[in-house]
Amino acid sequence: MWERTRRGGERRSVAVRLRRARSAAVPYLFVAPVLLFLGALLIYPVVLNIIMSFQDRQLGNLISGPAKWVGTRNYDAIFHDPVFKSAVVHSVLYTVISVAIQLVIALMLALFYSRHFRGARLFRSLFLVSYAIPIVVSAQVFKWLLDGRGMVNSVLQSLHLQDQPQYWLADTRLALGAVIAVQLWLGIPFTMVNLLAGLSTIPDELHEAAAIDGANAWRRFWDITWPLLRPTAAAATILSLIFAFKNFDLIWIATKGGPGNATTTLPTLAYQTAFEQFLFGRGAAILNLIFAACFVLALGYIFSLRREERVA
Amino acid sequence: MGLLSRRRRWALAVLLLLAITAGLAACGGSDNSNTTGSTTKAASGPTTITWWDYFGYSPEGNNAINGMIAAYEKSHPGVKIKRTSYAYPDFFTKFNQTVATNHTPDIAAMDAGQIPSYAAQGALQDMTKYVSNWPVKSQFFPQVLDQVTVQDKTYGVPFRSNSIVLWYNKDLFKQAGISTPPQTWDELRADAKKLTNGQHSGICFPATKDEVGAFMFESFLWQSGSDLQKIGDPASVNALNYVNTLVNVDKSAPKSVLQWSWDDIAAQFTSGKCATMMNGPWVYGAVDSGKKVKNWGVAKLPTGPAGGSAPLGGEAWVIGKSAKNPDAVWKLIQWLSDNNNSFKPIMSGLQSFIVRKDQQGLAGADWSSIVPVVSEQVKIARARSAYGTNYNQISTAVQNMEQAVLTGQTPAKDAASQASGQIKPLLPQG
Repeated sequence: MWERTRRGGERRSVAVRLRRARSAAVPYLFVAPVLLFLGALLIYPVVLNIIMSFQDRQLGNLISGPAKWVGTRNYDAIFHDPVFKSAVVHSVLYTVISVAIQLVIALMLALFYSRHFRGARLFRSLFLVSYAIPIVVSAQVFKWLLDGRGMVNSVLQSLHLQDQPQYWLADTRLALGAVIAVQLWLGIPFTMVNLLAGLSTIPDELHEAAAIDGANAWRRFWDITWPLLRPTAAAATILSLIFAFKNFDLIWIATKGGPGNATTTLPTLAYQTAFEQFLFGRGAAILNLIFAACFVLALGYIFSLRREERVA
Repeated sequence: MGLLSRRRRWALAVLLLLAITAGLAACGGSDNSNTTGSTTKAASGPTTITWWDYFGYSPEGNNAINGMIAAYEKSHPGVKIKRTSYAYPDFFTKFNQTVATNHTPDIAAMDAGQIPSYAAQGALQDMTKYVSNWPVKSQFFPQVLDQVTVQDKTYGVPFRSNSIVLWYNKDLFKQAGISTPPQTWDELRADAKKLTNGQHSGICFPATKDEVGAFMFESFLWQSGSDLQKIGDPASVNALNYVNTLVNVDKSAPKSVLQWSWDDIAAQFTSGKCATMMNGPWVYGAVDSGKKVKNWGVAKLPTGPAGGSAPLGGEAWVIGKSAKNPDAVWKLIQWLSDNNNSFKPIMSGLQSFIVRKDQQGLAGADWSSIVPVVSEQVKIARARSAYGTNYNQISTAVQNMEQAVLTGQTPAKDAASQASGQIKPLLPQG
């Protein structure tokens, strides 16, 4: 392409210069749609939300119209709210515990299903069923399963593992654990598929060579599989952390943050504050904190991707 | 890069950009050109009134509304009504969006309990100037009119009322050797204990972490002689302890009541798993069509130390803030408030209870066997508009208080005094 331009340079006419200017503009034109989209759908709402968190906004002047500046009052209010503090704790516990367990189980499943055996592919795709069901549906189903009169209790009781029903979602000691269990059911397939993709890039020859050299399965995992899988695992971890941290629908449908705020996380608190109590400024403040946390995690994701590229 | 010539690439980029700007412009433009949220009166065309409700859930209710709209359009040839019906929770989500974008419907049938909050958010038009000289106004039951009155201003015209009653399974009562439904808290506690076994619970009522839970708990609070202004007093602690006894001491109410809303509880009742339930007439259809429990009845809520009480619910016609022709909407509301036009469809179609003195004794109100009992309960029911415009935040404090006690996190006394600290500054001052 360059050559043609240079050859054309022999006749330096206005037309050529125009064409040059045009071809210089082409890359920007290609980038423009992305910039427009990012600006309209990401930057604009984020900036609006940051501004709103310093204002006293109501439904009537939510989008347009004057609003009173209240400085950091919305942030002061949430930092002094004991429910906010417990929401932070629940969010961190919910995210860290579910992602940790999710990773371990997903890794074991991925290692298992990366082997070539009859039905491996079928079972791999069956795992994705939970991913294909809308969360609204699975959360409602789990709400019924985990009810005092639900199936989980009747199974446990018929196996004589418990003598009276547990109120999984109505007992403050059990509720957070119960929603974490549902999150695991939702999250494991996603992580597993990610890890399977990473495993498929590891050449079989490495394993064969190591096996010939007498390395056992344990050594082969730690010295070949894990180092080569680590960038993929890091990316999967960070994505899962973001998904779990901002999860709203599952908890809201299953418990509404109850009982007694035992499963209130930052997203459910933000929703309740903004849309049930009409405290839009305070809701925006909580959402900004969620955004900041996810942003940091996303930066981590980008760095882990870079590292993955370098390794590959 | 050899696939596309430079000229083609250039053209493609420009096309893409155009397509996207056009797309964005279309999104933005629709905000301005969209007329769904405003009464438009074109010089030649008819007046269009946008109408929202949440009565699409039953064919009877749906037909009743459509019938009234058709009758109005027929008698008012210059008016077209565009109706949209949402599910109850969606109604409020959508309504919030239209308030924020200033495209509210012209007329809406709104839960009267929500009116003070929406009035304070600037979502509704003040109807005081219309209502003050309206002869029908003096016919409304005072507590019904209280519901739509915020700081002496009227924001709605009630057309439907309801309250909570006690539903009981007559077969299970017979089995337990109980002949009449419980009249008092003590009787309810004793009966519920007798009615509880491995198969069914004695009493179910919602204690959820949402407005349903607060709505329900307020009736216990009033029956015990307390009120939201007085939370923290011995009567309020007594109410919390009573509920806690049913759930955690006697275990005659399952702990799931912390999760069960009206529909869940009705489902438990119709499958025979709750011998009694506190629920509103809105579950009548579900109970009446239930296959398993055929022999049931309703009674007034048991009375507490301070007597009988229940929260008043119901709907009112409101005018959205974006209505450009409120006079036309008011004409429609007047027509809808004329018993000759609307009494039968609203009562039997929407399965409602009367709101006015001049509706007493009119034919068409006795659409079911539950009407006499619910009407009695409505008479002693209380409006909650006195709690002012911060009610949604107060409601959160009430929910948290009840759930903290029922989950065993906080003793009743401490929970009540904590809630008192949160609620007092939110109540109307003076």
